[in-house]
Amino acid sequence: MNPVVKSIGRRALLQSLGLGAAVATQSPKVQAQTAAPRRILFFYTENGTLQSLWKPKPKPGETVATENSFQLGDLHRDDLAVHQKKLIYLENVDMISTDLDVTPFGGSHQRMQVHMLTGAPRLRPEVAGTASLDQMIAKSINSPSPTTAFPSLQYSAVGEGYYGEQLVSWSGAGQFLRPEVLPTRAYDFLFKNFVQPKPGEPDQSVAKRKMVYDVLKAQYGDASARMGRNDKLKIDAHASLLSDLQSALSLMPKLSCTKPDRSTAVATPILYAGQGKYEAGHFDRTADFYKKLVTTAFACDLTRVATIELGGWIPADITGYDGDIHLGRVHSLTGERDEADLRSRNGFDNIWRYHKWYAKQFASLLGMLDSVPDGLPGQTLLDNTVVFWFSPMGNGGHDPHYMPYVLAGSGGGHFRTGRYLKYERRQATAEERAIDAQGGDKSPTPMTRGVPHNNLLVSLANYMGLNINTIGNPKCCTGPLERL
Amino acid sequence: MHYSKATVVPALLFGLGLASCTGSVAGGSKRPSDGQNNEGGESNRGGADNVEGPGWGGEAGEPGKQVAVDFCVDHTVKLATPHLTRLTNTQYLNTIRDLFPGVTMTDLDLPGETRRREAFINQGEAQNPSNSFVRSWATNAERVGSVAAEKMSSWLSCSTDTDEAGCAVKLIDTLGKQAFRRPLTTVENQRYRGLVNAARAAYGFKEAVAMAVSALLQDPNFLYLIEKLPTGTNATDLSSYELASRLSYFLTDTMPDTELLAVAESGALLQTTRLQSEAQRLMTKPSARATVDSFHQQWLHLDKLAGINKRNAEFYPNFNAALAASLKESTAKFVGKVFWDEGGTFQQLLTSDHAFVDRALAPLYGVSAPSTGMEWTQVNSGQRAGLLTQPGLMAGLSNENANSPTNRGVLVLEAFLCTAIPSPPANADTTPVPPESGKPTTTRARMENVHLSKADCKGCHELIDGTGFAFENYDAIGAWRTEEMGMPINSKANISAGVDIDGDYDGAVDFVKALASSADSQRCFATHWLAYARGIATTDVDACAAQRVVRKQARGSLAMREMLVDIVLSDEFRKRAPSAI
Repeated sequence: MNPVVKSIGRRALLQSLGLGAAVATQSPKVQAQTAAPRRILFFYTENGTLQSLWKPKPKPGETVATENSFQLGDLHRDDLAVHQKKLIYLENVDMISTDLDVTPFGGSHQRMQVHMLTGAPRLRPEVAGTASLDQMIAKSINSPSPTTAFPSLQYSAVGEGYYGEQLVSWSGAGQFLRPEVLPTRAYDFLFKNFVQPKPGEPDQSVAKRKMVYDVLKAQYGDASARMGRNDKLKIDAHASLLSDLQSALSLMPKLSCTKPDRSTAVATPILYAGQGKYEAGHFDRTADFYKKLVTTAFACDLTRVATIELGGWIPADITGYDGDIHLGRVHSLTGERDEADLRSRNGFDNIWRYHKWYAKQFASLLGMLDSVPDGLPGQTLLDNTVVFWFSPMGNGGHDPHYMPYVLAGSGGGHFRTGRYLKYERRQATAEERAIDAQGGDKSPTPMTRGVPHNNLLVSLANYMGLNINTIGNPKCCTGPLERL
Repeated sequence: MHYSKATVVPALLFGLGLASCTGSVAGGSKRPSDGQNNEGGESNRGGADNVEGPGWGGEAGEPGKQVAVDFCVDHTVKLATPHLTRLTNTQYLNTIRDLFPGVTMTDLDLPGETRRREAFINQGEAQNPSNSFVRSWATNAERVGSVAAEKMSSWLSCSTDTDEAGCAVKLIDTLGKQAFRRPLTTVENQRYRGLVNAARAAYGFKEAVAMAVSALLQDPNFLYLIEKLPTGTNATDLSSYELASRLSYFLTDTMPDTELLAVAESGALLQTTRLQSEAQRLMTKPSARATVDSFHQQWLHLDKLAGINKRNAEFYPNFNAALAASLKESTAKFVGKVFWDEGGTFQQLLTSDHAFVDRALAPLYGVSAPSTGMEWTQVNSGQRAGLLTQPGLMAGLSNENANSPTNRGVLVLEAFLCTAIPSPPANADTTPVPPESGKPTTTRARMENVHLSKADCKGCHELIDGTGFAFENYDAIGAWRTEEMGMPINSKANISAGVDIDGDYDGAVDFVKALASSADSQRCFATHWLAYARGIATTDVDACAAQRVVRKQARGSLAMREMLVDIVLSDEFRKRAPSAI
């Protein structure tokens, strides 16, 4: 248990998450018998990181940082040191799959977003060629019949517009899954069909919905038979979604959770720079609410797969930079620089605050997950979850190498945490360098390459029960990530 | 004469494949001659003072006029490939409102709708079912069901005290017919009665009503405008019920009212005169005003006006929330006023010398403010002419720091001239270059510097900005100006979009007058309405169909309300093509 969270009052936090009742009614005996499901949370931040400040450092008095003995880098130390035992830092993982993708570049951010959880050549410049890992997992958990009421959840804190559509989740080739950008809507979507079971009163809603559904099933069947091929596809897709919904809703009332409070949900989306006005704290409240929703959804087993995306534009009340920080600061300050050079640059303070905000958000997410008892006595939700923190690029120079990946939570003991895994780099092949060099607005292609991120995706898939040995482009996937 | 008759068409069509501007720029609607008979500069395109000429067809032989080449040689009706359309969010909510009069529904939640640039929200092809829609419809159906069941007496006239079984039959017959916009088939009737009876036995009548309503509101025959597929390879007439649905959702964004449903039932709606009178009747309903408003909102992307909430205080010290609200309101009111209350012609829409002015807007127009509220006021006709010079629209197409010739040019080209503009390359930095205090420069100069100095940008921006520069006299809040940061304004523009008004113009008033009388522009306007009427992309509208609709009008004056009726009477509206696949 995280001591910081403890001190602010675990019960209060649980209450705010709507989990107070659930915890209170669970006797230790029942709890001990419950095998916790495995969950995975994808935590997305934009624009890479400040490499030299991100990397773990030697402990004071030591000369090298090793796998088991290290302290966090300056950028993360204040916020994440309390969680260090539950973290794994991965250094020298590269998105080799982008080096092998001959599809034209398209948007430099979008290209890497698409590759991030697919590791596969794109269909078109900003269109994925395969399903993304999160959706592969969601599908496998819920096939052949739904296991959770929601296969997966996707939330984005910067919405609607250029930065709102992080192209991360794909249900199949070319099938983009747009994230929800509005907290109130996210809440309603999650809880609108949630019926609070009353003790001693049988719930009739399942039987009633079944009767209605039987009529609809026949109606959609008849309509489908009358359609031309194009329209038939549409009607059949609708019928299939109705069928999924019917199964999913029948899973709802067995839960013993209480809905969290909706009143703190922000009701206006965050728009890209200059298009909207924000009160101070708007971003924090939006991000906080998504974190609460996901924590609740995991704890109540409404879903086991979720994505929280914190997009690239962060306003002045956080960064101190009044303008488009992406154009004004990120590009000019986050390339490969040594620490002293970086710190001496004009505008460093803004970009420091920018990346620090992401770290704080990650830390508070871990705090929430770590405050909810789950599974075996003494375990928390964080212990039965893996949170994968990634950015789709290594640095602000749009470099798909040196990815700043962090894992948190051991996934029920699947991964050994508290480690710093630094992988070897090798010489880049001519093919890798040639394709990467074509990008017009990215930092120069490096001479070396680390291990492929596809391998990490395989490890995460294995953790979630997918028995696979390769994912995405087989040319840059050699199996699970070694040593992880 | 403003109008150059240079050989602009080939230059435009073939000269734009530059570097990153690889999208094609071409007429938005299908031109029959494309690729077959490209006459380029030798065509009869030319003066806007010759509107009866090219594009109007069949008007040859007038003394002193050029002999017109019929724009549409082949007048065969070519229907767009049909795609199943579903109710838009507005239509869905309106229909529920009208199904249950006397019942107030709140808290109905729907996901946002996405819209393709070349189409309206009702484009069937883009309306793919999604998880969020299906979930929302399910939740809403349950909510409406339980509220409606509580207040059944306000929408179903029958006594449940004496005859529950009779009420159940009536419920299915009456509500079912309204919800499906046609009588239920025997099979459907039995299916729904089966539900009501079983539910009544298990949970009581009220609950049975709630469940029946819930099912009806999720039924494909409610959510989609389902039309019978022609059995052969030829287009067939819609049934009278299908036609009633199209008509009602086109003109009033809701289900057919009792009268229309009765006309459909009698079959009389299939008669042209009756269809015409029903269209005219529906257009007198308040909901028709909302629909026309919705068309204009989407056509002109007026939703962007919502973004006028911030202006750089250094350059726009007088900007405030009250002005932003007035800008939005006055533009919306202007469209409604011209369409319904004034003459209602396309020409008035584009050239009217009146505007809605209140205390906040008066300084922008340089007129004296009305004592209270917003009044229909004559404005300086040397500075303003109609819709495109509305401060609201001009401000909506601007940025925080400055006006945007690019936004303005794109709107004119796409919405008024049906000229497709490719998106900027994905790696283009589209952040506007802001003015800097102490460095006097004009927006135009900054734009020319950025856009026209690079080959990558110039290909498209010569056309886009060249058009948008006509509006340089309006700043980022739509106020008239003759200088910017002390530098004189240059609003000379050159349009070279391969249209009948290609040429040089001196400012917006000069330009919009030409636009108002341009045959291409009127056809483009009709194209947008046809796309809206049929739920298809503007690029799928047959240009000849648009021309037929325009040509029914008195020459040189396109009456908009009449044009809508003509659209209803057209084969495009009354027939259905077989599915292509």
